[in-house]
Amino acid sequence: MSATFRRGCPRKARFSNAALVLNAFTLIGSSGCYNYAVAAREPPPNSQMVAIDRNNPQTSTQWQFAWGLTNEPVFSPIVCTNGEKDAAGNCLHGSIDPCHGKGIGFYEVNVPWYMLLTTGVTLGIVSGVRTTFYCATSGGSESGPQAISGPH
Amino acid sequence: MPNPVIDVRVNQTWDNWHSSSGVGGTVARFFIPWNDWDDNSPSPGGKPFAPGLAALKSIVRQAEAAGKRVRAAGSGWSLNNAAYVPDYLIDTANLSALLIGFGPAYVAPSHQADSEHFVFSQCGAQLKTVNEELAKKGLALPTSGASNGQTIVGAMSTGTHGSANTVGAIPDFILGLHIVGEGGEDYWIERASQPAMSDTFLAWLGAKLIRDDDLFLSAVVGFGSLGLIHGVVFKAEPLYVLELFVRQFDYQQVVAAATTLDMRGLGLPGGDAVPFHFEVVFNPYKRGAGQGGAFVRVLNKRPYVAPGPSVLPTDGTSIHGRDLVSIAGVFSEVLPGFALGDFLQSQLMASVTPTAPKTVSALPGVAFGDSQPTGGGTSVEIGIPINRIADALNAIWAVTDAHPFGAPIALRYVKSSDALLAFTYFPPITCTIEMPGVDSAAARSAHQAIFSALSAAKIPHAFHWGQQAPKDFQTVVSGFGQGRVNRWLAARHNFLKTAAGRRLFSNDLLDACGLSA
Repeated sequence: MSATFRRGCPRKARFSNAALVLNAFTLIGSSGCYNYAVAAREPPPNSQMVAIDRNNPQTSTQWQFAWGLTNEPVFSPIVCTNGEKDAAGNCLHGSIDPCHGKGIGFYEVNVPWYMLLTTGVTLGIVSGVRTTFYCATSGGSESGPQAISGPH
Repeated sequence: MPNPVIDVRVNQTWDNWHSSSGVGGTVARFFIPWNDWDDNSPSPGGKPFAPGLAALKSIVRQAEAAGKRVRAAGSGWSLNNAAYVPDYLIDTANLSALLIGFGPAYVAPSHQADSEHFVFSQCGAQLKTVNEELAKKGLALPTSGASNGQTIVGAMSTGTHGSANTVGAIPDFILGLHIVGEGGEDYWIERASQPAMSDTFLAWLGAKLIRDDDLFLSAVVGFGSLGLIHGVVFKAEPLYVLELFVRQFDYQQVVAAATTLDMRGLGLPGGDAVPFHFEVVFNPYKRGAGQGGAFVRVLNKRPYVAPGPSVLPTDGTSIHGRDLVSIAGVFSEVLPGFALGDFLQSQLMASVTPTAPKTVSALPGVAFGDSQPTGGGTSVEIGIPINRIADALNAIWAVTDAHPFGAPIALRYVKSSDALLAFTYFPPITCTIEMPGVDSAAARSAHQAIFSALSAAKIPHAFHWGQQAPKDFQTVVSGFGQGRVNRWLAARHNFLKTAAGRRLFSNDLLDACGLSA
């Protein structure tokens, strides 16, 4: 299952008659709109796409070399609490789950124009993609208070 | 004492879901609070929202100390800057705790028999989440908007509606509000005339009680202007099924029903009774005989019987049609006038796809399903009295005939609201007229011409707070009548007692409307 979720692509461009052709080229070339996405769904009965926090994208750029022969394809960075690291890159205050246990709800792969160009110019020796994930937001539900207990 | 986890981004850009032109901008401090403590300690029993509430209080105090304005953003569904402030903006997406079902002691005596239907929803819960969790317990929202990605508080605060002529809009089923106001103090606000919760609930929540009809009716459609709404309580309904029926007609076959709600002759599945949801979508450029320029969309409520309707198509699409703003991105002023009607018709066939003679059943969360961002889509929507629909349509056709622009005209019918600034306040049923399209010079010009034509014809009308509005914001306010506006201002003054407090929870849109002082 997939859906487009194109933050960063110039779909916001407004058209005028004179600028239509120019905008068309801009749409295709300026930031690269090769865009692929996967949206997770909730289980039945509703089976809707899971709710995500669209305002908190987690974006990274990944490069591979020599037609993909040299790099680990799995990218699994540690996120430091408050983003604070020491000079060696170690977390000063421990690490956190960027989705706070709620998982990823939407994953997107985008190929910006300069990466596309680089891949072409280097005949595929250098190739990169930009990946973005969005965290799911639902924490489920629980029952409200039922019995009267002592002061809270 | 642990602190709530709040991620902070400096100088972050914020925009709305549809990336509408002129909406959003740079935010000096963008706060992302979580329902977690920084030492990973658990929340107090039964209060998964406690860290998020503490975070909102902390952010308010930080804003007060820094002399900044603060606002909470939902899913960014609004097509204007109602949610935006460049100072301190809060991403509420992760404040999504849901408590479903309360003990009888926690609700007012008049509601005790239904206490298991009471729901406390934190502000950032998206309607799709609420639908999902309610369905698991055999419950459902009484109504919703045309899609499911809004947060419950964002949708409520702007008066989001469907076409529920016996229920109303989302704010109309809300029973109480948990608000963080000046000083980071939190309050439970509900109507004095219809108390919903008990002293036991107040003691459990730990908020100060205010029972005041005007304050509740101001805050429930207050677009963030009376404080940060942390949560709401509403009463869910037993789970139901919505039976969708869509039929294509000629304009003249439908216009009588659209203007009078007389269903005779439409051949609807429920006969001549007004359906739970009745909606008419017109193609303004296909009003002739044989052109099929009118689409009637009907939803009837049916009891849920396990295992319920089959769910979704398996090809990745999610709903039987799309919300209308989602088709807007394909229109622009570059289309030649002669092609506009045909192109619009093809889009309507895809988004209001006829089902007749069949019906399609779905749970509420599926019937109002996922929508796609348009990258520049926008919409205007007005509410008018039901006895002026014919006049309003004539005024609109005069404009669309002279100045074609790429927008369908959608009519829905919503039970009138008591909320002071609800644009669906016209009794007994408000007709809402929506014109979704791309933001273009032609569309803006046509919108202004329509607003002027409505005023010239002396047709009372009010504007949806979550959609684009006229350039003259005073027009927006005057649509509600001075009496309602004065009551809203008085309630806000009584609650936010200082000028600093009123400024704290204001923004440029409120300033432009003259509502922030």
